[in-house]
Amino acid sequence: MIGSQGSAQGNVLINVYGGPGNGPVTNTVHICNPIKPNGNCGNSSGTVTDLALLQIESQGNRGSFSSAPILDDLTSTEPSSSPVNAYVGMYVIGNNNNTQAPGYSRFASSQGANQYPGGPSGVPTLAIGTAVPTKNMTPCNPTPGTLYANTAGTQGGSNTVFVCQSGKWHAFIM
Amino acid sequence: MATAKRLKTGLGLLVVLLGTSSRLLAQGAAPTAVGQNAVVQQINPVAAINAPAFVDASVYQTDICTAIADVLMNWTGGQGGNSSGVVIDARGVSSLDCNQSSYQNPWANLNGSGFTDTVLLPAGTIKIYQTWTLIANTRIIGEGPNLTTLQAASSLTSNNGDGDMIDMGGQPVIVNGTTYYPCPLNPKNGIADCTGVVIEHLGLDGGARSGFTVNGIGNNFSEELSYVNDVTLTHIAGTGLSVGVSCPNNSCAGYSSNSGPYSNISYTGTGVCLNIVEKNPTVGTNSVRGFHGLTCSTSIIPAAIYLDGSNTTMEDITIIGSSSSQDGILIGSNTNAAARADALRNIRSGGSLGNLIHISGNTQGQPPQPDVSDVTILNASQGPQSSTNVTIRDELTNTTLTDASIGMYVLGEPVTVGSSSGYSRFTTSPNSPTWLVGTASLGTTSSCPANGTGSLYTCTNSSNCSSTTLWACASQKWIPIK
Repeated sequence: MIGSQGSAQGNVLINVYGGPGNGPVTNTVHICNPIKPNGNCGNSSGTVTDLALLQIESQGNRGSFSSAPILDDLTSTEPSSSPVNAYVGMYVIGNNNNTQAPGYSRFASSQGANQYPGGPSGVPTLAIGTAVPTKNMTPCNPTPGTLYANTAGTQGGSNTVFVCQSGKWHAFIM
Repeated sequence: MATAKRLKTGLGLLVVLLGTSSRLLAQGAAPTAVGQNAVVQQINPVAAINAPAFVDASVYQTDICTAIADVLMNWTGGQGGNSSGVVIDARGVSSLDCNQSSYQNPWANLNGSGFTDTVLLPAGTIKIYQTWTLIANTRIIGEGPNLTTLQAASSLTSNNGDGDMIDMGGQPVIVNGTTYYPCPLNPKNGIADCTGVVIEHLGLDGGARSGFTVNGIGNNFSEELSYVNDVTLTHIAGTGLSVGVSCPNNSCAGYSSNSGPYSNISYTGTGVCLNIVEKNPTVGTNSVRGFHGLTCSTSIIPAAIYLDGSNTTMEDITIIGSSSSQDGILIGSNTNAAARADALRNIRSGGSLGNLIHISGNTQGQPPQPDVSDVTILNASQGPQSSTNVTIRDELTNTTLTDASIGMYVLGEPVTVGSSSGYSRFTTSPNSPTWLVGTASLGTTSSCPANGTGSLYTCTNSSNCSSTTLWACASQKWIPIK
């Protein structure tokens, strides 16, 4: 748990593994939010900013128990919850100290997915590939807000950059 | 103050003690432990007693392998192994050729439980003829990688035939009807599980004779508190350092999970510098405590380093190759393994390499999943004397980056695009889709490179970019978005 007993700013966690054990470990890394106490993060939680997480793994319990590499209460995010091994390569969260900012600065390499209604969301990320979505038609499964760049894009850009919205890929450039 | 000369009291030698000028040592019970120092106890009567701090192996007057084995047998309770442990000082042993040794592997007839042993090796070249299979809680420490050298004889043999000079733990072996356990069996799964196996401050010389392939260090059985530090591997035609699992016939008998760190290692040879492999992700990861400070100089094709394990950290790695067909680090090439949540930092090439870092496009399972995911690369660069062609080659995203240095390359996981998929990925290289930031307005006619197709550009200057703040690179032009 990060920030459960006070503020935690400018930290880096590298290669953290949550094993099955007798628990098992539910969340390998749990980022607390003092405004929204959740689970083991209580009312005494402090501010968490500028946190970098690399190589985070959860192992679940061989199919009978879902666990997550990261549960982020700041952004209500839980990337890659899974009953088996799940990994996050990079998850970096900045801060929202700017009162004009509508959210947190953040980058993650894992997208995750919505697990259940009202539950933690996945992570919008930046993806690339050579597949060509049909504008407003091709389904997208990642978290809404994920960007996708077609590296083989042509046609003046209309098939080059997309955003996942309402379950479909939408082109940036018309 | 008093000093004592080395005693060999088991043979009834005279005890000679130098005392202070003010008092004489009373005759006490003569020390009886071969190899121990005699010290003066400060009670009346003042007498020489055995010092249990360490055992001097030089008084055994045999070759170093036999001397170590004899001390172990004498001081650890032999097979029962119920001693509290022993420090063996072999720095005074002068016979360093184990050819005629009764115990060419000094730990051969011991069980790895119940005691610890630390062996201090002498300066010089120790010639070994059989794999040294270190048992649990064994530490071998040289006087330095350029001073203490273990050299493989051309007839080097090993029980399991792997050709390693040193194995960190091993499977049970039967000798003359007796089963010996180098590693105790884990009661949960019956798998050999060593702890506390350490190799430090020495060199391994593989001999490098024609037709003779030998490996350096292998770890398939040692886990917590096991590590390698300050070791040179020279003239190795096989694999310098192998860290993985023992899973013959798909049935695993040992792991190296939680071992490490493996640090300050130099490899010179014609084989594989480092091989990291796990069985597969459903068996469990092979998470180790990283490889920190490694220089590999080798000519082998296809790769100097194989990374087929998960949760592995590699940092401060230099690879000196000799061929444009050679990869420095090849990730995910083993289709029976996976490479997930790995991190590579400060990876540097020297000499000639085709790809400094090569991410395999292999997949496994149904629906197919890539062998590689969630990999973070920070600071990959080509050294000033390097003629490396490609810094990062990523087959999963069909990306080839030839930048002299790349600050960050993060490959995540598949992202669904209809019936196909892309990959979440971020890089700081401008020669692949990325997110750029600047203060210039790009207008409507600025060009962008073809390999940057899909890049985004944000203008942060509100006066320059009042009409447009976000552009995308498409058809080699920056297209205004918003």
